[in-house]
Amino acid sequence: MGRIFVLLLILGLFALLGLFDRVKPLPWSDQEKAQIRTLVLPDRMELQKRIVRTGNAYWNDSQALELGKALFFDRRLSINGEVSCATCHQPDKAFTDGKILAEGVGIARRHTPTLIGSALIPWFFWDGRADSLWAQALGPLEDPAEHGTDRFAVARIIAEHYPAEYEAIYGPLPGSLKRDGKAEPNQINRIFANVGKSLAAFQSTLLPEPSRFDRFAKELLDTGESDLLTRTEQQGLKLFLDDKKGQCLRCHNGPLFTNSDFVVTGIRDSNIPVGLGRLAGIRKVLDSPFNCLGLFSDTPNQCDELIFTKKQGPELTYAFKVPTLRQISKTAPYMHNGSFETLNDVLHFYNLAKPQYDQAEIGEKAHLDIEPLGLASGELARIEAFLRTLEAD
Amino acid sequence: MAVFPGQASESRFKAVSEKGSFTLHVISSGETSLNQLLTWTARLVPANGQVRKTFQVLRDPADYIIAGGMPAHGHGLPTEPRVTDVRFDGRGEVILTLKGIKFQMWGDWVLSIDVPALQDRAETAFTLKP
Repeated sequence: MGRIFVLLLILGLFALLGLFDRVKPLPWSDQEKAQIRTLVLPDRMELQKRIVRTGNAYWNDSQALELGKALFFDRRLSINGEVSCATCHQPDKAFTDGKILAEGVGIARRHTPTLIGSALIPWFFWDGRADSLWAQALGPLEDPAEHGTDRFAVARIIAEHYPAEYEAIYGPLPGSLKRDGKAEPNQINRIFANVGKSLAAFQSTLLPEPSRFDRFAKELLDTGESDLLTRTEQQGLKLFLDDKKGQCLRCHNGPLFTNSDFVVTGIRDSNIPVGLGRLAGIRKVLDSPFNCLGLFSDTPNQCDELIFTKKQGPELTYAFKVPTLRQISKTAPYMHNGSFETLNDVLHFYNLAKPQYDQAEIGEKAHLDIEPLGLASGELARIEAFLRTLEAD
Repeated sequence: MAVFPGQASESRFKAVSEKGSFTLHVISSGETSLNQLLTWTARLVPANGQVRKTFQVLRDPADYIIAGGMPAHGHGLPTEPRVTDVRFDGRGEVILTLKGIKFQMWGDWVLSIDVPALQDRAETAFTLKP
């Protein structure tokens, strides 16, 4: 009887704590409210206005979107007929795959990032080696570890399986391609680029949806308080915003919770010292025939992102792209090498700020953008609780 | 350090150059959001007639070099902004168009203009806040 009483007492205490956690709002300073305002997800119409259209006149073309959607799920676009874009970018996993490294026809070099919100950022791949969503879409097709196919095979698949859909958008396919599967290299490149533009048109529809955080933020900004986040989650948000504590907002800012920049966080790449991160990425994008300034770009006069991006300096060596935190609880494992199984692992890594490699491996004066946070494990747990509120409703 | 609210339609920062040959005024234009390319203006006011004469021949955008960053974080600007236009007003002041500026974080920034022909540079400092 005594044990049951104690058990009931404990259960009651937990229930009270839970209630307290939910109903007791925290005070928010003007500075914090101003920070929160910059994080709220705009409505879908505003998000569409913000889509980065670099080089792609077809980003909003409904026929291009439909073709892109069909191509996204088409396994014929691979050397073994078994891999599509959706193999790694699975819709039910927030367009990721749950794997450490992407698995196409082989094991890829890096972890699969989400596609949600990808149309809203200017740089692609973990090392930023593409400056548009359409140019990015071409990379995995020819990567021996991903689709393992090539642009000639892709063009033949278009001519064989999608000629009417393609020609309705982009004009006639070369007669020789339809007749005997042959075409000039630049004709092939044009078709390949248009495949990328169609895939990008489809991916431009994968916009983030509001989360419980967004509803909390709107209520807080409108009325001065909100209990739509628990006290623990609100405490986590405060730590997230605090430049002396969590320091998260430095890089994870704006409505996508990313500044789309490239930073050195000490995460090992699969290939040291060849994997130079953004430094290698910028060299590749400048050399790419599919960049914004290239022959296949529809906006060669609107390439300021490429023209003004940083092209040299120690900060680029081993720098990788800051990912969005929206849907982060659905996109484990984490980091560009997929080395952390849980958000807890990620937060403990940032708390210690100890690189996964010996600094000497990438140069004695290697740049590092993070510093130890010195947070208690309870504080890390609160930040994690907040991050989980970024999951779409 | 000047506090610079990002939503302000225009903000101005001022600094005297290291050797005193000119005063730099940096003028923002439109709302300053993070992670967006910005075009700002710089005005260089010569300290004396000699500097004014030197400025008169510095008509190439490459005569002026922009730099910046967050000293406390140990990193520079995320972009390589450039002077794209050089003009002069009736008083011999230099007006520069600065393209390709971007800020990827809130916090304490510096933005400088180096004039190699004068062997002088001026650096403005400001806190960018939401």
